[in-house]
Amino acid sequence: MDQNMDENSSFEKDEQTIEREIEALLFASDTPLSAAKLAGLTGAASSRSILSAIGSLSRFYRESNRSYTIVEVAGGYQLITLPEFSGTVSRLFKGKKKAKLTRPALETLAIVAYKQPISRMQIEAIRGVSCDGVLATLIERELISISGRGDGIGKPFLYSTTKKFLEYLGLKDFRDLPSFEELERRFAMDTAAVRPLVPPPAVETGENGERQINGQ
Amino acid sequence: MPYQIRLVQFEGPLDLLLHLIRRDKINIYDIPISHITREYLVYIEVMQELELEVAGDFFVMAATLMRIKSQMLLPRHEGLEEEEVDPREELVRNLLEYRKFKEAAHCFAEKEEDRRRVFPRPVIHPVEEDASEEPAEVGLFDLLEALQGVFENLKHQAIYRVVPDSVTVEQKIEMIRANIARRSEVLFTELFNGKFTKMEIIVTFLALLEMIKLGELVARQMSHGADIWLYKPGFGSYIDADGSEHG
Repeated sequence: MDQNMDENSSFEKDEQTIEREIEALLFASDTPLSAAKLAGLTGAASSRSILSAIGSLSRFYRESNRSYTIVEVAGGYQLITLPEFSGTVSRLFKGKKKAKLTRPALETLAIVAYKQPISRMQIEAIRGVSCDGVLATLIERELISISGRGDGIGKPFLYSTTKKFLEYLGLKDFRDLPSFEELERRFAMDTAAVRPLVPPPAVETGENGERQINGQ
Repeated sequence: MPYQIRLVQFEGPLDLLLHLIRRDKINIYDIPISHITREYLVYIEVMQELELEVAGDFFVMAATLMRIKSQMLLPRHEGLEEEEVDPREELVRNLLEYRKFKEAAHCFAEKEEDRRRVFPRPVIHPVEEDASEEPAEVGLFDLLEALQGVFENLKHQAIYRVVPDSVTVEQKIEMIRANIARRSEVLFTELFNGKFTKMEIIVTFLALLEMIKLGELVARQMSHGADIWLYKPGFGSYIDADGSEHG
């Protein structure tokens, strides 16, 4: 694939060394590492050689039936466990995982994500309700941050999403957000099945991401 | 319990309106305003009956609906037709805009769920720093912790009853000052070497605190729990560290 990699420099590390170094870096890092950063840390010639090394590593994990893989997220690469181990690993972190975002928090986050930078007033105009508490939660969870001040009365704070936001939703970058057209389509599909007026009481269905096997 | 379900279901007036529109299969671009107003008010009433705190935003919307309704009842001027704006227009625009983000939130929830099923490497707690790194200045609590250690040691020592020397803080400051002048850096525990009584330890500690306050001493350590070193300000201050090490 990249056979001519080392013709430029006699100091060029061989592909396998770079691959192993990348693996070590991804293993040690608690945040996604960009191709540029990986290139810098390994001294690899180009981002392209990084990409090919990552491709070859993930292929190797898949073929050797490992329980983890490399994903592209928040502009970088990250080692993660496979979804099928969600049940097992969840037990390890039982009680330590942060709660899911509430519906108002998700709505507010969505508005910030698509309209950033945006002031609290503008968010409230869209949602039709006050957003103070939700904004505080989102800031506290480092999913949004104050990115500047607007021109309006009192120079209001403007909010934008953070890198952590992309990571939180597992998005590669902003282009990975669903487009408005896509949202409209999804909406049309949702409306087809009209939901009941009052949903049934929230009974724990025990679907903690664990696949239930019907042993019959 | 049903209280909570309702609250969760309607985040705000727009949410409630969208629900009614969906429930009654209403064309959002041509909302029968008197019908929707009536239904909306019924809901508000129910919420109040359940003694739910109905947010002010819900009443603002009720007023808006009634205003639109009255505007719709006004006779239209035939000649001015193209100038006329549908009184519902702004509301519809808001509803459509809100609906998009509601759907986006839906989609975010799915992505959140997916992401929660995979686990990245947890946050790293950095390993012991390299000795060449700059030690951090310590605070009162680190010093107290170190003092605790001194007391701990005291317990293990054979206790000799001695007539207490009445050492004052001032005298101790003089002694530490002389010590530090000679060597420019002293280990915290060194100050307490020797057969000290509890009182003497405390006096020494107070002297130390006083000197730090006066800026005559700086206490630093490489990492939490590591040895605390006392420096003359400007000495061993690692700021233009050229790999100087201690210990």
